[in-house]
Amino acid sequence: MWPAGQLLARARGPQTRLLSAATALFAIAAVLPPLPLPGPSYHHMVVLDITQSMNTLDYEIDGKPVSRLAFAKRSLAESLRRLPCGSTVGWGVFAEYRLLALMTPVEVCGNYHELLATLANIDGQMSWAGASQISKGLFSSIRTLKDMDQSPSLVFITDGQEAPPMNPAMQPSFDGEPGKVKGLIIGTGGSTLSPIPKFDPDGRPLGYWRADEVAQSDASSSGRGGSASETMVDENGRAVTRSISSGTEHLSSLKASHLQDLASQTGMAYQTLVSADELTSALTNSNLARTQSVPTQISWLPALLGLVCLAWAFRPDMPHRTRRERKRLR
Amino acid sequence: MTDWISGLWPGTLAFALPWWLLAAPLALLPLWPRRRHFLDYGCVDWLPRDPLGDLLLRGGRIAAAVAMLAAVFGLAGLGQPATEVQRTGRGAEIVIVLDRSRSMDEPLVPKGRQPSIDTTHDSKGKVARRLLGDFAARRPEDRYSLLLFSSTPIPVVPFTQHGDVVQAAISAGGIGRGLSETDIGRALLAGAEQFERRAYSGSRILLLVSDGAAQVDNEMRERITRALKKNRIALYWIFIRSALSPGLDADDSDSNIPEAALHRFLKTTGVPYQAFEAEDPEAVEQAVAEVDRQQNLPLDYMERIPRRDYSAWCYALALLAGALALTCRLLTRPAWKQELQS
Repeated sequence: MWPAGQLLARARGPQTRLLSAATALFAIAAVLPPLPLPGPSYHHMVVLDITQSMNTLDYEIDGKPVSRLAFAKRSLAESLRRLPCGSTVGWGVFAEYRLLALMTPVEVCGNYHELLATLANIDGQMSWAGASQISKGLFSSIRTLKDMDQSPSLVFITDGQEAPPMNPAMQPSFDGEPGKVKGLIIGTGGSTLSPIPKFDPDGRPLGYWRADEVAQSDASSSGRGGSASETMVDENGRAVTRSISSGTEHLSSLKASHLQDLASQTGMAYQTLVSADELTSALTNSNLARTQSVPTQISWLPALLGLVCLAWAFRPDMPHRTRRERKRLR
Repeated sequence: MTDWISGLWPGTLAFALPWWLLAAPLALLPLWPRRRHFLDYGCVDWLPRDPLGDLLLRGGRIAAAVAMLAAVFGLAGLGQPATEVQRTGRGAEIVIVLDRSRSMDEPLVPKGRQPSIDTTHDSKGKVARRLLGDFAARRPEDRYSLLLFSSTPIPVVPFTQHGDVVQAAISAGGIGRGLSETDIGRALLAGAEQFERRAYSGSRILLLVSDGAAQVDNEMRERITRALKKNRIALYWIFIRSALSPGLDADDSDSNIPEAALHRFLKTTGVPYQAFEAEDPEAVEQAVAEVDRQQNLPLDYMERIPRRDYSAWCYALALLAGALALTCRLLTRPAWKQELQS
């Protein structure tokens, strides 16, 4: 009924070829296991500033004012799900002058909900001290991360508000190797000064910090105040002028230039927190990426090719003209 | 990812990448009437009607359409979305309350030895973390919550069964030095309150890991006792002895030794309580055995079932349908012209 020669002839037909190709491609798609392909992955230790100035309400979510910390957490939660699988994220908090690690980096896809739950726990009430010495905190965080195995990149989220204020001439300087620990400083806060909410240790609001309740100038450059007049000198012997207090230390805004300065000292990048999208692209910057083989499911590729084969095999008739018709038109 | 799932049958099947469904109309192509592969055949009297041939032709086209639709479903990531299923199992709910105060950075000096300046002994915190890590690894079915404390309780991980998360939180305790002060009372209270507003599902354990160097005042003692009793929590203390500490059972009636005073207080709370000495190499074994004894009640818990991807099955269906279409194609005669050419 179907002689072999005829079958063979049919098998060479254009439509049959496409059909066989599609079938073969579907077979590949069905059995292809995830392949370990080199892909970018990110390993971040995210450190959130939880000092009081981070409670300043100068961000908005859905038209409601929210604190810098709340906005940063929300943006992080959004960015977390857009990190490629195989990336790891750990959490830490900053207060006083140091980092407190809460969780060393864990894989994001498998532990997404746990990472979110831990992030949700982070708030100002965790803070163990009132001070906020950003430079010291950043430098010590870098030292700490350098010692961790497979040292992750540091993502330091802060508004840059030093409390007590710092004399520009007496800033601690970074003694490490810039760029050894890769990272990102994310500046939070608005460009204008806003009042800082005040809370009691149990988290109940107590209004706002007033001008006479916070240190308005740094204590170190004011000297001892003895009877003999003395001049402070810096490391090079130059006199240090006493910093003039602006009287606005109870208000807070994003200290972007200070943070940019810290970033260039430590070889990190700086970015102002505006939206989750921008945070995501900062977190997935190729500078921070590490290439490692990630199990990647690529069966979509043969499946798509198979689909295209079938679509071509059954493409609708083109309204093409025969050669004779074309000749006639000329 | 979950945002992009649109329901097919809500709760049972969904597409992870629904945009691919825009390609679904392609599956209509094989059913489209066309002239190119059409065999002018049908009403010539000297050729009989061929119902089998008609069937094969139509069947082949339907099979091709099915193959294309299946492929599109596979591309769109047909699967069962992540769900939560209530399960009943063994295992306990354990809140680990881990001391992060500076005193935990001191070396753990064996009993009877004098602390020296250049000591090679591991720090108390390191010993504690190793014990906890062993404990959590030995009991993977339990749900853990971890809370650090120094001057304030710092809740880290809410109840989870993910072992690597628990281990990550425990190992994070080894990064950087300890914090300055110790408020063990507030930490115990916060630990007990982790069980608050949580359905009682049996076997609740608070595992305190501390050198206990802090006094707890009477008011706080009452609040702790109330919280422990109300939430029916068993309390275990992995005690890490400070150098020169006389230990928990020091006979000290004026309660000047804070750890001994805490030990005595915890014994009077009326909930199951046991202390283990961290230096004891058997401490982990003992603690595990003790927890094993506790968990008589079955534990109801929600297990998160990860998304199940069925796209491989879709491709397999596409393969079958494609093979069927191919067979039909081979069995029927396409345009006369094609076969004449060959």
